[in-house]
Amino acid sequence: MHTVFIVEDNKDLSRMYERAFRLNNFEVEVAFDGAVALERLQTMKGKPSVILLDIIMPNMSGIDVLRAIKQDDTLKHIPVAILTNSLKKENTELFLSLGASAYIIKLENDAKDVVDRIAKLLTKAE
Amino acid sequence: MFVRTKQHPKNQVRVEPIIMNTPHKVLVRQIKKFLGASIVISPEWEKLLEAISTTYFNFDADRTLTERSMDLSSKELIEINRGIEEKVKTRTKEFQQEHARLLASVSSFPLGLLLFDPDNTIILRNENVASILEIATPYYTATDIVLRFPKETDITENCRLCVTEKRSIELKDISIGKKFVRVLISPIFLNMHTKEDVLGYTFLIEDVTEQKILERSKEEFFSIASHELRTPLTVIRGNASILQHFYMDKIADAEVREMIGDMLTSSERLIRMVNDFLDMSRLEQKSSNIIAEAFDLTQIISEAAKELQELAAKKNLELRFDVPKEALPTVMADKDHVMQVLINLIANAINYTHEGSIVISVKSFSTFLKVLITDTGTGISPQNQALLFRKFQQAGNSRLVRDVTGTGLGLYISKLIIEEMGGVIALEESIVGKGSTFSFTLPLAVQSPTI
Repeated sequence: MHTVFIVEDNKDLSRMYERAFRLNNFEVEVAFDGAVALERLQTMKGKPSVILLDIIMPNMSGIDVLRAIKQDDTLKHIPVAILTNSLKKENTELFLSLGASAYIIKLENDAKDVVDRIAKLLTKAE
Repeated sequence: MFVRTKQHPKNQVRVEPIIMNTPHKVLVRQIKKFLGASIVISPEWEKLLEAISTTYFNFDADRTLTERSMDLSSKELIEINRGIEEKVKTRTKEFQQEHARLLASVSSFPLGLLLFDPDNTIILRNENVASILEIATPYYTATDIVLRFPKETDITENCRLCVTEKRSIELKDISIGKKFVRVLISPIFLNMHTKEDVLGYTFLIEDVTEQKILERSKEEFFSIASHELRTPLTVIRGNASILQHFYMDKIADAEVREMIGDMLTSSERLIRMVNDFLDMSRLEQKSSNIIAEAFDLTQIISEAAKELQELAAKKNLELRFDVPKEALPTVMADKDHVMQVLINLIANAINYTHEGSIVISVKSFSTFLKVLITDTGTGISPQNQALLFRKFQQAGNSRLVRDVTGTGLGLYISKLIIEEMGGVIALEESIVGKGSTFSFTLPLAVQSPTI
């Protein structure tokens, strides 16, 4: 079973994604801010199969978390999907260049679409 | 000998010509009395009398004339003087009134106004100048004004340009302390039409701080809308969709299932609306992410047609793209935005067509390509044609609906997009009951050389 690590400061949103993933047979871990997420990633024993990362978050933004993940040898292999509502087109290229595997706009993708995208990402990774 | 006529409205002096050959009657009588009536009037006497008479006449005439004119001129002078005094008084009063009126009107508008002569000396000012520019003394000079502006604005140079090049100069969004001002420098011509003789220039200062704040809060509003509104909408739609995908079979009550369906449809509609509003505001503020690149337009049209094939099929309509036989040159535009316009126009056509077809074609011109979307739909009446491409054209009157998302912004957004990319969007033709043809143009990536 795949584990998805959801890093999202909005609790309603993270709960909604958590539900969608559980119902699609994923195991789910959740963190509400970037700094906590990074610490948990570094200390947890079984690493998640994929990370869903929000951009605008307190304490540590998504971009810094992504950079830290990609610089950490124990974490950099984990695919990271950016999940945001930011409409800045240039963001897409920036995050992909930093090593993100996908850039998903929340509002343009139904919960089901997000799960499908992640499932596809994992099949590709395997 | 002479005629002297002096014209004056009230007094008129007129001296009749002197008849020289008539002896002076009184003089003759006096001589006769003195010398005795018996004296024979001889031709010599007559000549003498004549000469004496003429001299006397002339003397008398001159005297009368002098007396009269002396008398008259002093009277006249007094009169004229009084007139002048009156006039000066009236004119002074008029001038004062005019000046007061001018100052009042100049002070009443919420702008700072300065009038300069060509040598940069202030000849007129209103109170707003000092208050807008936060100058403490009312006796400021041109230098004080210049010093209030940031160096890079180069007020002095701009004033010089205004006078030498005889044109108005507008300086926008200059920051002065905590304020933002707009300045308009315009030459004053003696004759507006010939534009000769620059008498100086007007210097208008407008405090645009409030406007800037409003503008900024509008931008902030949309950035809030883009993030804060989008997040809860995602949650509502997401949960409704989870309910529909995973819990429908667990819900026995058909009405509850219907409620979930309605929630999902409405949230999707609301999301489309929020997206339309955001699109519009970003396009209006020219802050949208339109990035032009060269691409093959036919490929994008095929994709759009493919995406909407299902929608057309549901209504038993034929949706066809007449691909040109010859390869078309690439266009310079933003792919995603062109796709958005295509989807909008084709979906509109499907929406307004009950039977028949929707045909997309492309025409090639020397500097641009033109895409035509022709339907066999309901058509648009001439009075409604005028309302197309306007903001919220649907809002006032639901009969005008020509919009898929239902915000009344679809065509307006398409227009903003196409114009931003240097093209033109239009309704080519529409006949009520027969159908409509919409078109838009896009510039070619490589402009073919004109011969």
